[in-house]
Amino acid sequence: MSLRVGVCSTEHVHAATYVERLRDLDGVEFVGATDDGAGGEGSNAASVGGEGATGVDAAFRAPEALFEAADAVVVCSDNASHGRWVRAAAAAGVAVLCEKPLATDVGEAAALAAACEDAGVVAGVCMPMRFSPLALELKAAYESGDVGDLRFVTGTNRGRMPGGWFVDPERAGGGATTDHTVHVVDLVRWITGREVAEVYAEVDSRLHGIPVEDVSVLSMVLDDGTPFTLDGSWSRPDEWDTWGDVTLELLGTDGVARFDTTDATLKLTRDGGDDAGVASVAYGDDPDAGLLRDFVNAVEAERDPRTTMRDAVPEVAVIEAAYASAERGEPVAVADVTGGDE
Amino acid sequence: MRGARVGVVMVTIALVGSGRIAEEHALAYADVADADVVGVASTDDPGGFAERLGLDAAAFEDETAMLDALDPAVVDVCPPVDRRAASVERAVERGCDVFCEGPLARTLADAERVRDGVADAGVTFAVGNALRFAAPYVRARELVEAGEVGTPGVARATRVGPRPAGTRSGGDDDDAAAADGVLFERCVHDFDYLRWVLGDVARVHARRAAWGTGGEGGERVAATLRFVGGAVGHVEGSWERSSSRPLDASFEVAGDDGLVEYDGATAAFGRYAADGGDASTGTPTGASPRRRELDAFLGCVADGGTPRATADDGVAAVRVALAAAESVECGGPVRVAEVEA
Repeated sequence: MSLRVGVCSTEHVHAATYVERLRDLDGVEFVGATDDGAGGEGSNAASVGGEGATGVDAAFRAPEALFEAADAVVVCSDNASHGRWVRAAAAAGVAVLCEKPLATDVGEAAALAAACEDAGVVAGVCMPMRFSPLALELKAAYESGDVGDLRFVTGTNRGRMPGGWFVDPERAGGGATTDHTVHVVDLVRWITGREVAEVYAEVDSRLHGIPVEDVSVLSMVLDDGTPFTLDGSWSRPDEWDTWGDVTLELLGTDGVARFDTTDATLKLTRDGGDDAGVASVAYGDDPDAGLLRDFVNAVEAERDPRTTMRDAVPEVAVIEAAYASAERGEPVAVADVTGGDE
Repeated sequence: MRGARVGVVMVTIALVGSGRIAEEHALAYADVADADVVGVASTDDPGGFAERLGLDAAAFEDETAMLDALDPAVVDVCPPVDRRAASVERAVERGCDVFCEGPLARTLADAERVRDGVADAGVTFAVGNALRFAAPYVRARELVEAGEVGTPGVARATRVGPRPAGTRSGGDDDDAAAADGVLFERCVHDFDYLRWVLGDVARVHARRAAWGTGGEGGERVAATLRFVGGAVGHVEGSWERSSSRPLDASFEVAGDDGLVEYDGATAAFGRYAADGGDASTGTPTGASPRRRELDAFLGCVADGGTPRATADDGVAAVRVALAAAESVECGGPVRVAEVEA
């Protein structure tokens, strides 16, 4: 029997990809997408509506109808709407995988995790990098003791400016810091088991003339004193050869291990068409497919997905601490923004 | 093949130092037609140094004795950092033109005293930073100057890799004076380069980790900069024991209209021995950056031009490094203009 999976809102740039992957997954029936339109402009309805692969009408269903028809949903709305959709799914007893960041306020993030726990539904957050073969190799190297005692962590997650609601402070909650902090922070927490203790942030809007920051350079410390810097700027031009990068380097007493996603690409040059020019095309196991497969398996087995909503809460705290640091012009302890609620 | 340029007098050069950098300078001068290294002063076997490099140069344990004996036109200063200011002063007092390897000094007071002494003496003075003559760095700056990336917004410079032989340890257990190793031996060159491209730095926040002792020690620093012009920078440097990973010197400058990236880890040239011996890779670009730099300096000596990196630049780079060191200690950002040490 297939697991019935739907998508709540199609505002996120990943929505179309997730629908495609869901349609390809064995044992999964994509039952449709819903968008009540309350989130605002930017719906990708046109890209996911229309006939479904399995004969099910995959056109938009009203929210209530989707929750009736689904065992699990993926929330692909703007950040401000995550709360509405997650609470609605929990209330309907439907498992939920939510795009990142879970929330932009740590209290809200904790409340969403609690709502799902109380409702007894499987709840996760989209952290596809935990399924990247490169990140998995880094984790294995670290766990084998290849780097020895950890001494320094250096990461980047630089990208093109996504536009749309991502640059609307009301709908996104912030710019590059909100968008590009959690992927690498999540990896570092997962691999090392350490938490971010302090953040010093240099953020600014300098590259795209937008109302949110597009430069985001964070200098952090883990709870064991290990420095950890992260450049999450939207600094890749629109004409760059791919969407962006994820790089992570772990330096320790016995060695260093690192990966760079841009090195696992083919160089494709198109001489014509809409995408004329040089592009870098990734190869290898697709992290998005891994993410969705794990979520589906988790729902079926009634176990935690690889990144639970509860896992994601401290990562929201890092975002908050970053903004607090930028505002105050000094380092901010993450404990100061969680206020012990975490 | 050596031959003096027509009408140019042979420039006599006295070298202060006998370490790795002095060796690079001596070898670079050997290729310069109108330069002659006539003396080497060092407390560490100057005679052996001269002999090893085949220099027809007199060896001195004492710099003053060398300057007295040889009365050189130019003094090339490249002892350990904390001795450079004094050597520059000795040379400048005698009216010698001076090339001083960067960083200029370990303290602001020393750096400023050098700058003031140079200004008073009216000699030709250059601070060394081979990056200002390294092809990719030069070309990237040209692109930025030409507006190819628009107004810069965020820049990154990386200099990570194995410890060079003979460096003093930056490990926890060692002399605190050597604790700024990576900042003053690696990062400072990128501070100077980024200043050259993006202008003065307003504030610095830096973090540092160091471990081990002696030659087994490792150290890494990451400095987050805010430039006066508003751009943000991330400069990272390290000394690691992982000698299997070669030096990675890379940088990028992202602006509101584009991005220029240099990946120093890729090499355009490689040579590999069939017997599995050491491989040699790199990207030759014509004359070496060191050679270009010294050539340019000697050109300024000859025609009175202003070197690419002046004493003011030397002071400014030291300020940024000191601000970073202070930030490491105090944990907060440090305004570069307020550095007092």
